[in-house]
Amino acid sequence: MGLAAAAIAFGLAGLLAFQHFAPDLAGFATTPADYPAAAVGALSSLGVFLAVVLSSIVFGSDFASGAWRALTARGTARWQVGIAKLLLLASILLVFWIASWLVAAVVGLVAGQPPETPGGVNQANAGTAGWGETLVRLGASWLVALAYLGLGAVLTTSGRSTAFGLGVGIGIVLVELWVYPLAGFLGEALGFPVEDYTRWTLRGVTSRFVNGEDDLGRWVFLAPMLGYAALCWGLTLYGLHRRNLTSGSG
Amino acid sequence: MTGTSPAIAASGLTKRFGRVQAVNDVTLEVPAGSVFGLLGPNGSGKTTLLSLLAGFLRPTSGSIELLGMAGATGLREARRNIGWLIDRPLFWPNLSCHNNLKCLQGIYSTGADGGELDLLLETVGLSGDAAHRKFANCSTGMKARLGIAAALLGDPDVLVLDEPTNGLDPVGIVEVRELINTLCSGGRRTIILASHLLNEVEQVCDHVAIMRRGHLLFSGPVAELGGPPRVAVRTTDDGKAAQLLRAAGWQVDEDSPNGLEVASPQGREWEITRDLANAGIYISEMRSGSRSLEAGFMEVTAGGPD
Repeated sequence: MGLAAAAIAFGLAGLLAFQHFAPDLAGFATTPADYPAAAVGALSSLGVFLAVVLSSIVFGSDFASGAWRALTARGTARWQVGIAKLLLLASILLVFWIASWLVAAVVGLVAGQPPETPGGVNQANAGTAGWGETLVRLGASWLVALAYLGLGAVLTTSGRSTAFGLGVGIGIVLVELWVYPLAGFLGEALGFPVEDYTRWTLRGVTSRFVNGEDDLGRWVFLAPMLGYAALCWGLTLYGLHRRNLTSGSG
Repeated sequence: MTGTSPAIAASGLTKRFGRVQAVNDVTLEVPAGSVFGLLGPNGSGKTTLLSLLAGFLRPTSGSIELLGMAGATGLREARRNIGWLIDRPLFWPNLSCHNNLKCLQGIYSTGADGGELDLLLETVGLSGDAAHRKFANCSTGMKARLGIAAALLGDPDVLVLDEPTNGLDPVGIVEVRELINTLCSGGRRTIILASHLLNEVEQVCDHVAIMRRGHLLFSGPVAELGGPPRVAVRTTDDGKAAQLLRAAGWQVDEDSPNGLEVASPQGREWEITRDLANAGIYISEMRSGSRSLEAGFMEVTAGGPD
């Protein structure tokens, strides 16, 4: 585990150092075209679902099996168990994120090489986004996943059931994905600025934080995004403190 | 905890699930060192009451004191020293009995003493091959005994067992009952045994509480529930004998299946025979003894809420 972490850290440091010391090698120092959009977009979209599903299962199954009772029977505080679960899930997602980023980076570099020039760099296929920017966006999408981890956990804890957390959590994510753009489209047609209202919702904040394409810039959305994450994590721990440790589904 | 303070005390404890009042204003004290039976029919609120004490459920109102400690931190601290067997215990089906206990030992932070595990498994009759059998392959009786062993981890001062013989066959019931008898001997440990089986409680408990529909109907020593010593009498004319004894100041129950039951302090039975003989009524059978727990239970629950 330690060796793997060291290898990942070494790989990351190597890529960043390469970009810093060899900025003239445009094809190597920047990502291949479409790489950030494809890799970051896929990971951040999937990550939201992954986070909701993981937290719903991990929190909900313990209500059904009676594990919460077994874990807290001898005086262990509920918040300790809850925070341990959230941190473990966050660590699992971080390892998944780093591994995905490294795989995508390797695939991106290979894709940037034309077959007739092994070892060369396909300058024509070079994009404009740096590896550092890609790393920032991936890091941002991991932070966003933490907020959705909390969303799944707080829903599951309030319903004391995996099905409730999964159903409502994924429902919220799908509504965000489909209804917001549709409402935006209709609002535009009617001359009503819907986006001004959806900007500060969970989806509005997190997507702007990952993509950094809003007029206000990326970092303005960091604080509200962390606020949503803290709210969901806090409500999860409060819910655990208040709720009965029995299954909500029977 | 002082020697006189109760091991467990609850005051005005109430738990409501929506419109259902599962536990209603229960005030209870479990004396330290006692073997305390919690009796009641199914659905009377026994498991809910124990779950409130264990902290699995949050009370709607009321307060709890465990081992002389109260408040959130105090109760957590006290619960480290209480073994709970409530509902079905949680074990890993693919681990052996020994390894299941080892995992729980780690979770409960009760120490990593391998000797303790061997001793515990031996105490509950799961030593040898049984200790290394997968939990999934254990019989219901073995699982029940492993549940008791898990509750005994860390040698707690209080042991709470909720219907430990539930679902067992007659042999399993006898085995677990003998195990509980063994645990009860010595009097160092306070044991709470919840059950709807009167004979189970009668055999091992010195104190008893009776619940019905969430209400606590009685709490005290078993002898108190049994009432004063009684004499069962059959005579040549029970009706006339009952009238006569009542007139002489005796408490008489004519509805007993044993004939006339007369409340009588021990050593005064001869006065009954004298009073009846003076009136020309002769006794065909006379037996003395306490009223059974069953009779006490029926009397107490008959007067409870509908």
